[in-house]
Amino acid sequence: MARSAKLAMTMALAVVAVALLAGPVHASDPYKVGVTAALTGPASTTYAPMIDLFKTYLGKVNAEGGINGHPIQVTYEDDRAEAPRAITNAKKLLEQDKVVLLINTSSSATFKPTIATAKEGKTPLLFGGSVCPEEVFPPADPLLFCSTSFAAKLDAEFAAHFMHEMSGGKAKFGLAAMDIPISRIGIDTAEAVGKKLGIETVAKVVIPPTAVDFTPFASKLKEAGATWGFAWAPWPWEIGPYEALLKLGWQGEYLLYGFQPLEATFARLNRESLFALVGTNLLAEDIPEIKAIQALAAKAGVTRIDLEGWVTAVTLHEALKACGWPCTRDKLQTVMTGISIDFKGVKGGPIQWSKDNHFRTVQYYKVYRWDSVKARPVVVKDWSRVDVEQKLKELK
Amino acid sequence: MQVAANTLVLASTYVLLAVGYVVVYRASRILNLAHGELMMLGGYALFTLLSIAPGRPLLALVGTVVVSFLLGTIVYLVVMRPMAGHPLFSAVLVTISLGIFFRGLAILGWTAEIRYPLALMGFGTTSLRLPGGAVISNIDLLSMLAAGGLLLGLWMFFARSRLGIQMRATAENPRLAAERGVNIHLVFAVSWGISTFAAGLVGILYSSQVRLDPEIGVIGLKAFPVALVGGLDSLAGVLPAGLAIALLEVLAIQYVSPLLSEVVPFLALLVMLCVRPWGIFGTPEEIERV
Repeated sequence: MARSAKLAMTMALAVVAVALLAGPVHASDPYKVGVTAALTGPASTTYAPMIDLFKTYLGKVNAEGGINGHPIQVTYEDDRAEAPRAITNAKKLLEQDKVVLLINTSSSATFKPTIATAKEGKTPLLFGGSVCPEEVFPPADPLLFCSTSFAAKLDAEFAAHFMHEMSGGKAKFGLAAMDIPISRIGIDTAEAVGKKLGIETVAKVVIPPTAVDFTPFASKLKEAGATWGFAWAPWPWEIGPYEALLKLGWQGEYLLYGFQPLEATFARLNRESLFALVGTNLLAEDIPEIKAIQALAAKAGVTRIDLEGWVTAVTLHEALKACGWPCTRDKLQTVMTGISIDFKGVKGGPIQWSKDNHFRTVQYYKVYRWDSVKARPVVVKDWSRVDVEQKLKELK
Repeated sequence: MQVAANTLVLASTYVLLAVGYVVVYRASRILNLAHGELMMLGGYALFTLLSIAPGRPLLALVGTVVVSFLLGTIVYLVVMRPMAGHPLFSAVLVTISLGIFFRGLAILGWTAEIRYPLALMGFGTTSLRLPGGAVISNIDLLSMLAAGGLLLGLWMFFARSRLGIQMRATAENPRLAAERGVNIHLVFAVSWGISTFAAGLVGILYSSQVRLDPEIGVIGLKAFPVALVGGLDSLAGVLPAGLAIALLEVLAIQYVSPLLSEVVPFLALLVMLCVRPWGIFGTPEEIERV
């Protein structure tokens, strides 16, 4: 009896010892995530601020104890928006760092190699802040997901309807794009939707990346008689034609997708003819969540706030929470398919992925313009709900 | 009429940039492929001076052109002078490396954020209506005046001043000029200074009207065909070449396809290389060295 009690005591002590030794180690084991982003190089103007805010959010999560005691450990690799660097980064993150999720925050030039590597490693890949690739739209690739707010076709479709509505059906479109495929898709879609609505596109200019002066391109839009301008391109190629049109004394209205420099540009130009279509609220909005983000960013020393970085970070956080512990690549992919993420005051509604749709089932848009009297942006059209699958069918 | 106005405005930017290529090439036979990045640094010099001394735009503008001139001479003395005696090809490669270095430096120093120095000056772009209905901006007008003023100033400098004449002599025969007591390193340093001064002017004008970020240096390459078409050793060729290429580009945008505007300068260069490889006013001997 004494012997068996001794044995039981020894076993209990052993169990306690193992628990004591192994417990704390398990609790601090991190969720490993890899990011390949354009942190330097030409495209860093767009992507680096997103990563800054992404880091800020995750810093807060980890400071609060991570997810049930497990911190989120992110390894950042700079791809300069170059494909060869992206493939090296993706391979390193998957094979060496053993990440459970790969995130791409870079230009479309890096997509193919990153996608190929993610598929080879059977690892989910989230496009956060970069343009959503075709593969995330229905029928979606099982491994690829996207949380970015902008999408060329859907944005342009909404823009065409908005311009039609604002002009009472009398608009004449003048469209501007940068000479890259995704930007051309944007204005081609606007032209096609406009045609269906009975709106004529009087001029379409595709501007080379090395354009010295936007004025000749703007002259073409003005002389063609455009009353509504629309651009879907990287920021300098969106705002450049508008500023040149202003210089030429053009009296029309201009709509663009509102990327991060929008709010500063609104204030700098002080023009009421500039409209911006957005997927996240502007920082000027008096929304508690937005104010909290600004306060947190200020504390972290982040001066350029791009909410796409926040959206990506929240998406990652929610996906890992749903995955639980331990989180494997397979398990994470399964939970991401079907997850619904609430961004609270940042977006117009949740991002919900389904088996076939890894873009989102519903897209939300809001339109702002500058009010020179109030000296702040004002809402022209509040959050509008777009059924993504239905809209994509219509666009086909 | 607007086509003519657009042509003059674009040509003025090309002329200001191409002058920089020509001045350095004439003196040292080096193609400075970091010229666009030196232009970009001119823009950042303006931005920095405006940030340091807000409300004093004139001081910032004068400071920018002085800094640009000094930067050019420093580049020569520190980087290019040690290349003397090495093949010209190596020197050109060094300028490519310099361009990459300057872009990196700009990102480290000022980040990749887009800046607008004109707003810091407290000014805005205003439109000026010309006879015939064409419209240009106040910055466009300044750009044309700067291009015309620079060409005139350089013509007078090379024709009348002692240093200018020494520079012409050095351009023609550096060894003979050195034997006659010309300080050729001073001449080369001043050439780099003048070239970067011109780049600084473009940096001021471009960043005031369009934007300032570390990647704007790429427009320097658009002016390279202007320098070649005009004749790499000929300042006189810069003006007709700039006007011709700007006109072709504007016409292509307006009447053919905006996308053609990117290739038009290089098409013009190709044609010129086929029919007159030394350029409009260049000398046949010079092009052989390129």
